[in-house]
Amino acid sequence: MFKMFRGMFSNDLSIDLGTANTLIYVKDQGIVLDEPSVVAIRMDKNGKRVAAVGTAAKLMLGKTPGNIQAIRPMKDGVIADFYITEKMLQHFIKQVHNNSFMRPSPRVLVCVPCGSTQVERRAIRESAMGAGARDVFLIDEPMAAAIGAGMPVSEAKGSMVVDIGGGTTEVAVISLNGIVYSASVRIGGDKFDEAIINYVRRNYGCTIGEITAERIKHTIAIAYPIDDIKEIEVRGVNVAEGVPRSFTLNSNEILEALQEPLSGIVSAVMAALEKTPPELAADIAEQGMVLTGGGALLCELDRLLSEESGIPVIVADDPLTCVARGGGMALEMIDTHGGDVFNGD
Amino acid sequence: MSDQIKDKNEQQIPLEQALKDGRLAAQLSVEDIALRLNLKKTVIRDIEDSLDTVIAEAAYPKVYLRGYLVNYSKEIGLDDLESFPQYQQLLGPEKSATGLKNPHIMTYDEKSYNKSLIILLLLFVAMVVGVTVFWKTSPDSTKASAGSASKTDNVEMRLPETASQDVETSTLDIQQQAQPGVQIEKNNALSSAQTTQQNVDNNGLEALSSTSEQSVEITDSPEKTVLTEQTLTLKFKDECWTEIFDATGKRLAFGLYTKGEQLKLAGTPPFNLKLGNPIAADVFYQDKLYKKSFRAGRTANFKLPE
Repeated sequence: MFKMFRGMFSNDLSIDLGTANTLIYVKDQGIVLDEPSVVAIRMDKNGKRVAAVGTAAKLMLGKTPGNIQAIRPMKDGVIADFYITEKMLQHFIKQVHNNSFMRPSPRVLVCVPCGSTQVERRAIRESAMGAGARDVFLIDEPMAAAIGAGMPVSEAKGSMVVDIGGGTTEVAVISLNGIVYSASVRIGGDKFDEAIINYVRRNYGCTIGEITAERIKHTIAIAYPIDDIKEIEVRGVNVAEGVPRSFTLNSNEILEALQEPLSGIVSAVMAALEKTPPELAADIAEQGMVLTGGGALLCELDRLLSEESGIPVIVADDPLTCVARGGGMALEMIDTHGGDVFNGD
Repeated sequence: MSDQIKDKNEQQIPLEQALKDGRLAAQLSVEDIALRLNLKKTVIRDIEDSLDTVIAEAAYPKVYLRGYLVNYSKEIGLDDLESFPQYQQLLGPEKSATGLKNPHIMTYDEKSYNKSLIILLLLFVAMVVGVTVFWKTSPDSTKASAGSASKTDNVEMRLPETASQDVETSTLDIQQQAQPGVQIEKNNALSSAQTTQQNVDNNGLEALSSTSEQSVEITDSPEKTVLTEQTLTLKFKDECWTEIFDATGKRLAFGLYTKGEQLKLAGTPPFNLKLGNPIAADVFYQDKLYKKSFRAGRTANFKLPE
């Protein structure tokens, strides 16, 4: 009863609870929050307490003293630390509400990987409820991504979406508001970073941190050979000497480093095309597939997929926010169309 | 100056023309572009020949057409695609709202305003609930509603019943009822009417009606209630255990009374009497002896007046 009363003072939210970033979409306001999914925990005599959340916490990654721990509570698209995820969501929900007097109790739609298990979905639902949500709806990420990208999901036509997030890559074929085929591989931005770290250690004998690897990826990473080669100077700790060393990396080296995760994504796409019914596959071959998620911003990834699959590949407009926007649009459809586009869980 | 004019003219070139020019400058045929982009030749021709019509008729979903244009322009090295109005038509409405909106941080005034608004709302709700609960639980409210509804009925409908009542007792009542200035409380109309009107005879009716015309008034205020006290006297001829309550529930007498003792009581009628040895006591109600045969050795429970 009191939750309903509090709900009157809360906005409906669509949350893209991603491994790397959490985005929140509010009806009529758009994307109101885009923060890294990182929480800094301070441990003292009284136990654990949250020291920072989001950007502030991300700045602490790898730079914390003994009593502070910067944690990424999501791993591979699902919850790795239930308590921290709940605290993080609680913080974000409160942050996007104007009302500081009363604890908000909104209706929340959370986007979940289509390959997540029932246990993982339940964990996400419970976590959102624990963070103060009045009602929790779950939607498959590829469906939300397709809606957010503006794909004609309601038509009797095959639409293929590839959502490359921080922890997972989701491939789905959608028709008539339903997912005909979907697959989820645990390859994403984090795996790219990991591949870069491993490459640098293997070839330069230096260790670099996640933040540096991410910077390299954003600056010079490519997925397909190009003429315009970029370079970046990075510093890492030489494993043999134990002292910091500086060295230069170029785009071709990173392309080599990323071969393994990239081939995983290509394989997932090819498998999806193989398993798609012929009529829908023909539609996809004619109009193409759409890339969403942060991974879609990897330079020339669309070309790589286009070359490998032989079909047009399009990067969605503002791919980072597609899932959150699509979730928001789906949330708005609740009252008009019911839960047609929602996952039944 | 001439550069500015040239730039302006270049900007006015439609997108399809710019794409076509770019393709020709790169010495690529339609087939080459279609092959590189994995698109059908008809799509390329549609874009180059009738882009406006394609956009207007929504021949391709926006997301795909926008993607084709991006890929095409990238292939031929056309960098300023976003400056073309045709391309801008394909961007969603949310794209026009550039940048991420920051979460709204409330000012102190806004916070205080919200707090006071919520407190006011809660106070109002509490007041409404309080009033409702008070109204529901108050015995006066239920009696008032019942009394007001039956007040007229009591007077009109009970008058014939009263005509057949005992003459002796009625005279006493009429004397009291006929006293000027007696007020009948609206809330107690039902209970007082029951006790008084039972004893009113025809003569009394006349007197009552005449006095009520002059002085009886019905008021809403319970403070103006005047309770009529009557006397009860018991003379004991032997030992008798006695307990007496009046109409208000007040216990007037309790205990064992012995021979020769006399008990004079005043209270609101009717009186509830419990006598352990009723034959040992003479009961006088309003100085008149109450005559009733009691069995020896049996406790008597009775009400006066009956």
